Amino acid sequence: MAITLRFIFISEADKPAVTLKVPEEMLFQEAFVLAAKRQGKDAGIMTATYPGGSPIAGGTVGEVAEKSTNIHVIDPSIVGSLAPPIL
Amino acid sequence: MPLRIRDYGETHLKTDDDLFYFLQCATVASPKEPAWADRAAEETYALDRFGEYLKYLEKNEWFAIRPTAAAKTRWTGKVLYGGRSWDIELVLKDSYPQTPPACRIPELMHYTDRKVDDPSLGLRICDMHMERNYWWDEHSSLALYLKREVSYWVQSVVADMKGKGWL
Repeated sequence: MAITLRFIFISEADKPAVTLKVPEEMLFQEAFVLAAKRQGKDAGIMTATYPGGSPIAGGTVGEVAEKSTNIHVIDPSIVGSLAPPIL
Repeated sequence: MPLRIRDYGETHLKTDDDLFYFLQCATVASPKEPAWADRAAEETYALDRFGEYLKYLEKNEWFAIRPTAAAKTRWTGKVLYGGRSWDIELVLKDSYPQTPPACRIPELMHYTDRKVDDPSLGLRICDMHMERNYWWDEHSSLALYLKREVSYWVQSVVADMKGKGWL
C-alpha cells in the first residue's frame, strides 16, 4: 500500500513542502533522501522530525506514518543562526 | 584479524571465514529478476543458520533483523554490542548481489568517518575494504555481509567512541 508523506522544510524562509507517495515498506530514510533531493538539499545534514520536534530515528514509511504523515525537515546550519546585530 | 581454528586431523589451519561457506547463496539474481524469490529464500536460510551459529556456538546473538515486506529487499532491526543496542537498516538494491547491501545504523553514522554517500540512504556504512579484500561476490549473502562488514564496523566505531569518551 502506498502512503503519502508531506515533508515541510521548516527552516526555509518560505517553508516549501515536498509531497511523496511511497510504498509503506520502504525505509523512511529512502523517502527522506528523495524529498531532500527534490528540494535540492543534502539529506546527510538535514534532520527529520515529527511535528512537535521528536526526531525520527528510522524505520519504515508505514511505521513513521502511524504517528504522522507530516514530516518537519530542519537544516541545522540555518536553525539557530542569529541575524546580525543592528548598530 | 579472523580467528584461527584448528582443523582436526589436518596439518594446516583453517581461517574462521572458511567455516562460513553455508552463508553463501547458490542463486545469483537481483530483486527485479524472476529468480529473486529463490535468492530471497536462500538469504533467509543463511540468516537463520547464522543466527543459530551465533546463538548456540558463539552465544552472542548480536543482531536481529526482519524484512519489511515479502520482497525481502529492505530489512530493519537491531544490532547489539557491549550491552547497548542500535537500530539497523539495510537495503538490497537492484544491483544486488553484484554490489553489497547498503546499510545504515542511524545513531552511529554521525560519530564516524567510516561512511560513504549513498544515493538512496544518504549515508551508508563504508564497505570499501570489502572490495579491496575481495570479501564480496555475487554469491555472498546478507548474513555474510553482517559478519564480514557490520560486525567489524560496529566494533570499531564503538571502540573509537569509547576511546573519545563519547560512550
